[in-house]
Amino acid sequence: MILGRSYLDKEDEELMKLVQRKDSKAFEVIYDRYSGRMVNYFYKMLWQDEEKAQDFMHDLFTKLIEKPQHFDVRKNFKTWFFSVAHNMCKNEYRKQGVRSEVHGSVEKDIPGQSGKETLKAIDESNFNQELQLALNELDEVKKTTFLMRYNDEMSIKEISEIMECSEGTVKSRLFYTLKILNQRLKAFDGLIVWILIAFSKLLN
Amino acid sequence: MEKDQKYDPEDLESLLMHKRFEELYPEEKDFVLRHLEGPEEYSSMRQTLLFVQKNIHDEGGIQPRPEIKSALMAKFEKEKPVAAWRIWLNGLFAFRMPQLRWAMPVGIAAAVLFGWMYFFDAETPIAKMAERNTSKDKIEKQLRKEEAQSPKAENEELLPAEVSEELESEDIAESDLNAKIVDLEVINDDFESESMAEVETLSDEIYFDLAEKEVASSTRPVAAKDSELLKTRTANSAEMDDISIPEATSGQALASNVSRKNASSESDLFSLFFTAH
Repeated sequence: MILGRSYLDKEDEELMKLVQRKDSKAFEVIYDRYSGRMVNYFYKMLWQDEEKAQDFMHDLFTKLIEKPQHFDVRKNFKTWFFSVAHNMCKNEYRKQGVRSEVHGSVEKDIPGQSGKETLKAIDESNFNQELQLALNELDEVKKTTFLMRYNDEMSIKEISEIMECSEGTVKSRLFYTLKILNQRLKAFDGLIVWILIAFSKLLN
Repeated sequence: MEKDQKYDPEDLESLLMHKRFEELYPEEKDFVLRHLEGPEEYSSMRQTLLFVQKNIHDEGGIQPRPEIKSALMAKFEKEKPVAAWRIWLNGLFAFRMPQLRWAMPVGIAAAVLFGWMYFFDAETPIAKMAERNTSKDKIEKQLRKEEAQSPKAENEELLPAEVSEELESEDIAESDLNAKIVDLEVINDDFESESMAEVETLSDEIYFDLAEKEVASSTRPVAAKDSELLKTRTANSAEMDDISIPEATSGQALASNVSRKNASSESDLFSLFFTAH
C-alpha cells in the first residue's frame, strides 16, 4: 500500500486519533513504527523465546485494534504502549511463577533461561549471549528498567511513567542493575580486558 | 542524602559514560567513591556500560512475521463500522442489484436537481419559457372569450386604465397589442379633447356615413362599421392608448363635434345633414 506523505509525517498521537476513527492507513503506520521494537522487547523480556515474542506482539496490536479509545490522545503514545507491553510481560511472569511452583524450577521450563551451570560453561566468543543470560537472571523489574533504558533508549521520566514509580527509583534500579551485571560478567575478565583495550583505542 | 551532595545516581551513570576515573573532578571522585569500592570498580563498571550500550541493539534482533501484519490489517478492516446513511441508501437496492448500487444515489440527486430547476429557480431558461407561454396563453384565451361573447358585451365599457395595466404587466408583442385594440370596442362618453382630435382625422366621407346612420337609428350603437374605421385609423397610428368614438345620439350632437380644421367640409356636412332632415 502506498501511503501518503502526510501520514508518515504525523506524530504518534495524531495517528492514534485517526485510528480511533477507524483509519486503516494510520494503523498501518503505527504498526510499521512499533512492530520491530515491540517484538524485540518481548524477545528480550520473555527469555529469547521468538515464538512467544511474535505471539505477544500480535496480541498487543490486537488490543490496539479492539480498544483504541483506551488511549488518551493527550498522553504520550510510546509510554502508554510500552506500559501495556510491560503489563503483558508481568502477567506472563506471574504465570511462569505459578508454573515454577508446579514444575519446581523456572530455569528448567523456560528455554534459553540461564542457570548457574550455564554461567560456568563460559564461551569467550559469546559475550553478548552471556549478557542476555545475565539479564535473564535479574528480576523482571530491574531487567525491564535496564532494557528500557539501554535497549529502547527511553528517558528516566518515560521509564518512571511506564513502571509507575518515581524517577529516583528508576535511577537507583539502573545503578544497581549495572553493578550486578558487572559482577556477573567478571568471569569474562580476560576477554573483557582484550575488548576494552580495543574499545578504548577506538574512543581515543 | 547529604545537603551539599550535588550528584544523583543518574549522574553516576553520566559520569561512567563520559569520564574515566582520572578525569573526574575531586568532588566527583568523592561522590563516586561513596557508591563504589574504588577506582577499579569504577573502571570495570564503565567498560561494562559502554559495551552494553554498543552491543545490546545488535543482539537478539528479530523481525516481525509478514503474516502477522496481514492478519492485523484484515482484523482492523473487519472492525470498521459502516456509516448508517450508506446502509440506508444502498440497503435494499444494493441487496437486489449490487452491481448497480451507485445508481440510486445518482438517481435521487438527478431528481432533486431537475425538480429544483423546474419549480423553484425562476432564472433558468425552462422556467422563463414556461412563464412566457403561460402569459401568452392567458391573453389569447381572454381575447377568444371576448370574441365569443354576445354583442351586448361589445358595448361594455373597457376602461383605459385596465388596458394599460394589462399591457404593461405582460410582455406582448406590438402586433398583439394592436390586434387587441382593434378587437376591443371602447365606448367612452367623455371624449372631449381627445375625441375631438380623433374625429378630426376622419375623412368627410366617414363622418357623413356616420351621420346618416345616426339619423336612421338614434339608439343603435356604433358597432361593426366603427370597428372598420378603427382599423383604418390604427393602421396609420403607431400608438394608441385610447380610442373613443363619440356615440352620436343626434345629428346635431355629431355636427357639434366636427373639427374646425375641416371647416369647408364641415359646413357642407352640416348643410347636408339638415337638408336630409
